[in-house]
Amino acid sequence: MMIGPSLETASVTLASLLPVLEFNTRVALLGAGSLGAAAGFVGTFLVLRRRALIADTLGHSTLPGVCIAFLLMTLFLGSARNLPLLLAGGTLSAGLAAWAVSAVARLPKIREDAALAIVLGAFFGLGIALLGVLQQLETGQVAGLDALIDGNVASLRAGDAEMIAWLSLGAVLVTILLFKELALLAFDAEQARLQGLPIRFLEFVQLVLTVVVTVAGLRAVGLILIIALLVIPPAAARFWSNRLPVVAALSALIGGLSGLMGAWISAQRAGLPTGPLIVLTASAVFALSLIFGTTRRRRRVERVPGVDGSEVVSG
Amino acid sequence: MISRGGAPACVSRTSEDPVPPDSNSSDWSSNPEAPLRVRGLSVDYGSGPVLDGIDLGLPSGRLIAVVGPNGAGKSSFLRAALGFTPAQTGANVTFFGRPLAEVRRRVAYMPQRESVDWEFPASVSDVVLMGLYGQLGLLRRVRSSHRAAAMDALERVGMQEFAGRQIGELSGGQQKRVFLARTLVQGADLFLMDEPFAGVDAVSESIIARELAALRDAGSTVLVVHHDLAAVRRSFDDCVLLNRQVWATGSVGEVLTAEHVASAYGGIVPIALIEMDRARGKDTDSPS
Repeated sequence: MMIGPSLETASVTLASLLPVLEFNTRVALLGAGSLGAAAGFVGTFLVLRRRALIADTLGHSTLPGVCIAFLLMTLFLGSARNLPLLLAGGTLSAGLAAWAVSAVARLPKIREDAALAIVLGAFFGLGIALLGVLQQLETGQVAGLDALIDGNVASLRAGDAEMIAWLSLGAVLVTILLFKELALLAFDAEQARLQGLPIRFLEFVQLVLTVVVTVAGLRAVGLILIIALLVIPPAAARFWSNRLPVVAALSALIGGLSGLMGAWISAQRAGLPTGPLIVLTASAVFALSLIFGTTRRRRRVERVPGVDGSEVVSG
Repeated sequence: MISRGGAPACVSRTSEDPVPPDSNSSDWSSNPEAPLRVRGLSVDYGSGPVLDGIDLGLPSGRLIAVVGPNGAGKSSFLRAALGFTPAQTGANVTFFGRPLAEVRRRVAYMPQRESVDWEFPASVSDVVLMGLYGQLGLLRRVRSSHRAAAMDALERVGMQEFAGRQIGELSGGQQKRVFLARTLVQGADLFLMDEPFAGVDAVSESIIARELAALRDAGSTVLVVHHDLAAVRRSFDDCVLLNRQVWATGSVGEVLTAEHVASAYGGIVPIALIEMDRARGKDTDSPS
């Protein structure tokens, strides 16, 4: 399957739409926009299942893997400018962290939130320590690693942007295919299990989707703020609709626009980190949604007897 | 006949308590094909047993209430039977004589209100359609026939006008009816319901009671965790008196005597029951 040409076509289409933008900016927008949309879409189900914090642990846990991949590449390849290999390292250590979370959570007297914090601390601590070691090495051009921590799409290569776009597209497509199953899992996991849905498979798929978005988002948003791009768009979208398909689509839209906007602003001036700008844009959309959103999120105690015209609320 | 379920603290029947012939007595203990059959079911969350060696087989095609004091393990019984709560080793649970995994389509469960996320972005009809996801299968889309089935179930519980409403915008009784509709749409042979009458208004209560009776009349078995003994007397066929162990099983009239209830409830008899007993006493005194 030829991956490159069609994506190049997409870039060319984008170029014809926005002729004023330079090639580097278009590449940055492609990477950040597609990643933002995927994060918003996949994040909707994570937030509804109250599992969003796993993404924080996975994001931070990519650091030791990325550092080790960087070190190995510097030692054996002479250069560490290969993004796919860096992300592969991040994927491995995030996967290891996911396994560690479930193992620690199974220990007696350890709740899942504690397990998440323990694993986040251990992996991120190791990553920071490795980063310090790398900075001591003469050969260490750790500038490439900074881009994965804060997010920086200014120097993103076209091929890397395409890879991010394809990973994002894949994550969105899998989520669409399993939409109703992931919805029931989020709403009522026991009912899903009773009806014979493959719960473990669905949970695993959701974990893989989260890892994919997290790792693909390292370059655009960075490992610290990726959690925000998974959580803020769905939270903002929830103010505009009470229907899950609409919320998920809106969340993808908000995430995608935040990615485009943040990448565009950061391209205006050297030294503006992309990740914080993307997340700030999403936060602004959240604030606007909070103020102008159309769904009235009534609290249960505010219900007035007979307000629905049919009966009196008791109890 | 009242079967004792092997509970050592079981109450004894007094001579003035008449014993009607019970054609279902064999079903309660020994029918291997019972809609739900439980042997040696114990549950312990870590601070002593919540359920201790439950042996029970439900009679088929009956409307059965599970009653007992707060913390008696009524919900735990349903949840452990369905595998949501881990049971102690040695328990044997079968549905229609088979493991649950083989007969999922024949079993439907309605959870307690507290376990639901009412802020979830789902409409009333979305929730009812979720009852069909297991039957639909992976990757299949919801079709108009499914939507029609969902609307039909909503009509049965009088909630069709609310089909587009977000579930958090309903009253407690309406929310119960929506979840009843999700349970009805599954077309099961055994319905397990955890407190469907808790905190509902009078309209919802009568609708829910009517639909449960309709399920029974159509041949299904309905097992309901209930807190209101007077209501159980009014509209249920059979009753399981539960408090950590099975204290009594049988028809409602046999099980819900002041004496049985007092022992299971630790000496406290709900006033409603005493008054009903008094009323019943008058009835039996008068010539029929």
